[in-house]
Amino acid sequence: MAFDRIEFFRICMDIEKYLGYLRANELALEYYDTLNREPIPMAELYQEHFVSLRDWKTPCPDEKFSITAQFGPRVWVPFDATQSELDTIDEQVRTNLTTAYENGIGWADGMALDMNETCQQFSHPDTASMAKSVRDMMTNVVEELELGAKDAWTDIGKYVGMWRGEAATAFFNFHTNYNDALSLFAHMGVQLGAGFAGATAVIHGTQETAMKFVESVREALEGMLWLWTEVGLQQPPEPSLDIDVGKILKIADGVWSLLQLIPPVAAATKGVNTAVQGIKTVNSIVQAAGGGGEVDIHPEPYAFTDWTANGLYTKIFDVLYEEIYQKYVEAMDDLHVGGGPANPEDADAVPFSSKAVEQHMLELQGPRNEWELEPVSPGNLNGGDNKVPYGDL
Amino acid sequence: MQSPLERMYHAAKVDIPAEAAYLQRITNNLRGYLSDFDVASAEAGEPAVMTSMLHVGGDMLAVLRRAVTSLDNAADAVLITANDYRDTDDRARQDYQDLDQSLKSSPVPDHPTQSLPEPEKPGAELPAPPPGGPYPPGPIPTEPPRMDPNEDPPDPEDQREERGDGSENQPEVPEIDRPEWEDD
Repeated sequence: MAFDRIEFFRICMDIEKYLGYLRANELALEYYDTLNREPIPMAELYQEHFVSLRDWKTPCPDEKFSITAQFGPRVWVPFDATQSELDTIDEQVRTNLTTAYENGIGWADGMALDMNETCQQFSHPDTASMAKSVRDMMTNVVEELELGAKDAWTDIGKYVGMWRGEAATAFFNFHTNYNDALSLFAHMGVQLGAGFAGATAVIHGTQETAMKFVESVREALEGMLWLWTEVGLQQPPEPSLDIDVGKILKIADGVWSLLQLIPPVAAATKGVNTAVQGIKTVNSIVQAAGGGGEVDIHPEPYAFTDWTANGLYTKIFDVLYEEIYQKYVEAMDDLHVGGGPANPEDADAVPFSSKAVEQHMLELQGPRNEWELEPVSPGNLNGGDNKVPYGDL
Repeated sequence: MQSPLERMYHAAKVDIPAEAAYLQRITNNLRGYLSDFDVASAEAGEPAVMTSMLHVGGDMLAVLRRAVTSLDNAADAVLITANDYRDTDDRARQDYQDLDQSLKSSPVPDHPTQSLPEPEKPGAELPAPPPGGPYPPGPIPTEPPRMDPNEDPPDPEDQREERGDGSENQPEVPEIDRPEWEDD
């Protein structure tokens, strides 16, 4: 399924919201514990009083995650406290618990935006449409170029060889090199397809990894909040669950094993079979991104040891930044500089890298310029001093 | 048996334009895909693997576009040459008169192609950001805010420090006041 960045952002918003609820629970509990830990001011004059929380619950915007307290906290009150004083202090404690809770609600505000920013470089591209462009380029550019290169496009070639002069020479050179140029571009088109396909597959795999990750974080947070509602205003047990995180570099390895099948650019192998094999390989690299099956994200359990809001916040960003964003950058860089084993003895066997493709083009554009076709101008091909008579044609 | 003049006319008006049309189609297709990848590259923060491929693709497109122009020019050149023979040689003039009327009167078509200058450079136009600033109003946005993908994401360490831990504003412990009980 294609990555839906709006859905991704919604899940980040849920995580932000849930983490706020979690922090709110923690702060309410912290305040509750503070009251209980308060030392008696003067033992002979004070007595303990248990605040009633019977009608109190945390004002969670999401009703189902509101929590109640089984026992009210203990406060110290003067032995002669009146009922009205006790009522007042009960009311204050309830208000303060609510305040402590509400301080936490907004704690994670802006987190979804930060998560989105961490993922911005891979969450925006539409990999399904990239995959389609790659496949269409193989069909409508590379295959077409291969076909055209086989055809003679005019039967006046014989005359072109006879005419002399500047215009005739340019035409002759253009005509002579035309098929080779088309073959070269078919070959380079396969390389282009390989580069774009590799990038598409890495972005797609990264998107899937990020989506699975935030989904499982949201699920874990929901589970945490449920635990809080079950135990009341006290520290719930830690959930015993693993959060799986995909391995971007292993996804990239899968791309690499296919890129190995792309003929090295320096070999500049011509012929239909090379392009056909290349096209097939390029198409299989973008298969998952194009909707043809699931990508294996190689999920591995990631140790979440600190289940507090702060601990979870830290881990969420560690995973997004170090395990996903930075690995994405690394995998993309590998596609550029080449991640496969290079054989220095055989330049033709250098495995795919977009840098090598670019350098090969720059070499072709060098002094001998095997890249450009000589331009033809619309002039008389039989001009100049040595005109070929009509009868000789 | 075709006369040389007929061969030339056929090349100028049928064969070469057909080849130009074929290459024009490929060229404009390529331009379309490169333009898609140009946008995708901008969205992906211009990774080197994409920009280098766009460099190669852009240069390939430039050569193909010039080749289409050359084919159009070649058709013109062959026609000019044929007409020169017709105007200077009696047998060529005779061959011209034997040509199909349609071959004589049909135009030599042009095959325009679209440019895509320097797709490897940043600056592809991205879809507009949602209205109302980077942070959308309402609890559930319909569109996530658009960040600038050319900027690296912030280090989470800094964000963590900015956020604090939320316990800075815990309320006081309430008391019932008995000033007269203060210690001496």
